[in-house]
Amino acid sequence: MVEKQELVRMLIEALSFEEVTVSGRLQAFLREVKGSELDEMARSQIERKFGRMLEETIRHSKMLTEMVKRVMKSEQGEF
Amino acid sequence: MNKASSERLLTLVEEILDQEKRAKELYGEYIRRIEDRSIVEGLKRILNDEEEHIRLASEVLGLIKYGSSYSRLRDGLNGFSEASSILISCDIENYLKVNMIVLKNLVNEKGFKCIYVAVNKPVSSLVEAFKREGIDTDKLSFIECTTVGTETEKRILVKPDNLTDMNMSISRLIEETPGKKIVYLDAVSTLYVFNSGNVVERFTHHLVSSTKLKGTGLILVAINEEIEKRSIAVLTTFCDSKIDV
Repeated sequence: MVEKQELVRMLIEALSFEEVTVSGRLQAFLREVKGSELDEMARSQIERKFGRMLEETIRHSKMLTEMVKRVMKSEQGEF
Repeated sequence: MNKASSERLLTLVEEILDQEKRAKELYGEYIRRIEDRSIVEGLKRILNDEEEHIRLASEVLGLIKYGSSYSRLRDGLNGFSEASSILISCDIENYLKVNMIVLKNLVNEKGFKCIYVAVNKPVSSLVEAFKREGIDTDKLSFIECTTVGTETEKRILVKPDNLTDMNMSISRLIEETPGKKIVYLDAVSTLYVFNSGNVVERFTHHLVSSTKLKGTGLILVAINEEIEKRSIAVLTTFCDSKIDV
């Protein structure tokens, strides 16, 4: 069981990790891959795999934002 | 690709892989602490994605390290099971990469024990290279084709022109190795240097049948520069499938 304030802190920590750290690194990596001398087949596979990871990371941010909103609005003290 | 660029990309992917592992730990800890069902369900969905991201980032690491041969091999090994036999045909420049990718996939990831028949290189240098690449060498036992050195519990010596002896040593190690296992013949093409084509092909045919009967997987590596096309065609007909790298 976690207190409301603690849960908000945890969710915001995860949100910031997804939104800033992971998303940022994935975008930077995809930029590097575009300008690299990787063979075409390897590059397209990497772009596909990391493109999917980026999309899902953005979806995680949205899900975590919704969770924060829901917890903030809730009158529950513990979760 | 030049070395600096490849190392830069490798560093970035390793960082991303570490982040995904950290994220997995973070969500795992949250799920253990939080009891609210709706929050936990959402976090579990994210955790599943993180596990998939670890797999994707590991594959990308392999692609950068080994190039597109990595994907061809991994795809070819997808359906590999006990009693499968696969011929891998590669150029000499890809030969070491092939060994590393296959052993990482079958030994480290799929948990096969491996009876490694080292025709080309001394076992000591192979073990060193495998350790550097993070391959679990505890799961490997060796048959070394050489005329010098001493045998140990996990290293049997045979002469490359004595295929009867090699066959008996392989059978002995199959019997002594518990659990799911593979025989990895590195490289069947080199046997043609020491034996006539007919002899190698009879030996290989017997090896494919006997490993299948014993529920043991078999990987045969053929280096294109060492073998005639006719022989590759013959070996292909013996095996369940062939991967060209």
